[in-house]
Amino acid sequence: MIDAVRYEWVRIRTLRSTYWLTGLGLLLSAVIAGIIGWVMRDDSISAAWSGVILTGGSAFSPLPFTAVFMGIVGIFSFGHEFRHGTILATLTAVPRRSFVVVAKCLVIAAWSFVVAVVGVGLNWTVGSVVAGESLPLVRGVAGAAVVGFVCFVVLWGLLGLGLGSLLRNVPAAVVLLLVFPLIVEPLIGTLAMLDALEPIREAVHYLPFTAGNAMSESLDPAAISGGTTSPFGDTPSRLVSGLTFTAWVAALLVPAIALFHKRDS
Amino acid sequence: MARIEAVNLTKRFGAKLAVNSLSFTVEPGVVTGFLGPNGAGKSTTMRLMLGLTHGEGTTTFDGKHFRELRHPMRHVGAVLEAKAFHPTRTARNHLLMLAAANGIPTSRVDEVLEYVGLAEVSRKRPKTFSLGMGQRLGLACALLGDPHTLILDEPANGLDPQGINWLREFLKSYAASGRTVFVSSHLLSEMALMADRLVVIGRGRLIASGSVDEFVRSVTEVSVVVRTPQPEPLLDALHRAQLRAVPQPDGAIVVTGADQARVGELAFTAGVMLHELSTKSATLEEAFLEATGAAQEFVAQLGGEHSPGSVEAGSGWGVPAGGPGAVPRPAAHGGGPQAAAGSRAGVSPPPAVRPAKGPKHRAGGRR
Repeated sequence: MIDAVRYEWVRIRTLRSTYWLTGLGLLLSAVIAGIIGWVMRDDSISAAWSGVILTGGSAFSPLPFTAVFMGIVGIFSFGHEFRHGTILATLTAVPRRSFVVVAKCLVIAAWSFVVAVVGVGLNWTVGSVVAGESLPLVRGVAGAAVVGFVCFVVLWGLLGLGLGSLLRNVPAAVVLLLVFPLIVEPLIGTLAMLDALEPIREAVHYLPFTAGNAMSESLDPAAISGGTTSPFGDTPSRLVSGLTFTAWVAALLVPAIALFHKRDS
Repeated sequence: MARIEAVNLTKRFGAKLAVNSLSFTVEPGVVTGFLGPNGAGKSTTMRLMLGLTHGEGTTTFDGKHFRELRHPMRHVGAVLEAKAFHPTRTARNHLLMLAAANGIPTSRVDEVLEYVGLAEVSRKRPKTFSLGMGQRLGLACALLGDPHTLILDEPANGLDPQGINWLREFLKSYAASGRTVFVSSHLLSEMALMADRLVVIGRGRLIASGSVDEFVRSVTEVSVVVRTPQPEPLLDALHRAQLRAVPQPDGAIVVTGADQARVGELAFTAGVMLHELSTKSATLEEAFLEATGAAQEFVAQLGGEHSPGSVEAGSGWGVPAGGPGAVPRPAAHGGGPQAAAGSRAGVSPPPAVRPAKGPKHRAGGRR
């Protein structure tokens, strides 16, 4: 197993795309943090707003930059293998497919985790410098938002990995990864406001990316503690939202892994 | 001494049976060629052997399944597709990645790159490589773990003549050191020079397996070429002896059904003077076409019917019971050089596994 992890580690760090995707995600997230810090430079920044800055506004964006780019790194993990035929080299070097899958999951999760942590540090630095004060990092809701954000980014990486394995087609996986949170979920949310769909309106909270975004929430008390009524019914807590997004990612990974074992390479 | 044993390999693509109960062994110490017409199932078979494609049957390498090997590249080196590299990962990094999974030191990476002649472009991206350079990088991957077995699918594709010559000598020397080499190619002339044994398939079924010479002899018929200033009395004598004698446009007479000595005796008895009396064997190409004529998956129709060669030409030589029919068919060839397979006799493999440096590649212009 450790050999498979070594292989995957060298694989991910010898690709240029890993670095430019990572760099771009961190840069754009830091730009958001800087803009918010600059706008609030004359105010005292609360722990709740610090959470927004530290996560690069993750809870407000349908496509949080760091998470999206880690999702694409995840897609490339399997997608490039099939696109360029390197899956043959991979499986002749590591014939046990289960080892290949586990190694890819571990390395993508670890890379996403480190990138998310570095991103938080970068956002804190940029936000503090621009706002002219040291932002709360672990105090109050900021700490919980940061933890949720890191888990969220890791899950996006694994989500991309599952999509890449399932579709074996990089462009299709990237399009799906962008279209669903940008178009499909907002559309469902809008349609759910129709009277005819009132009975299932609450289910909007449990759509994958809606639930995922709530993991790094720091401003809305309803999304943090749950129980509060919103236009979509009772809001689940951060923990429930996190578990919901985790379940969606698992639901994608399980068939993706099963098909990877079953399909010819 | 590693031996490959493939037993009952079977693969279906929907309703199509691509590989049909294929069993064969590949012995160490010799180069074994894997021949078959386009679409015969060669690449699918190789992928089945390594577990890259799912199917039925088993393949063992030195008694072990490929997926059971802890560091597989130290046992089996394989090249199944040319240029199967990420276009922006350098050649050296590609090998480092494979080495990392198989406990192979970095020094070995540089060694094999030097050996296949890619040291100068080791830090270049493969997207700039020619097909031949890609083949060399593929071979470097296969050699990385210094394995006891090589499985190569069309490794000569894209190589220049010097590269092909180098590959041939390398594979022969590799096998001569007691290792196992299983190589497919559609270049029959190349296979005739390279392979000692053959596994021949058609439509996913085994047609024959055994030595090249035996294959050529079993599938085709040896003929005797005679030249004489008195063709009529000789033809009469040959026909009286119930031999098939066919006059050729160039004046020669091709006799089948008797060996050179018998034809000479008949000519002597008939009082006929001979200017030439020689034995003509079929080439590997002729034997291959004879053996696989009806086993082609895709046949071009060029101005008429497809030549009705017979897949059932296996003569019992290495053909499993229940396999293709055992009725030998006469060679349908006429003329042609002496058997190309025979020229192999002049090529003796160097004793060392690594006899010499591989040729420095001459494709630097594509960097």
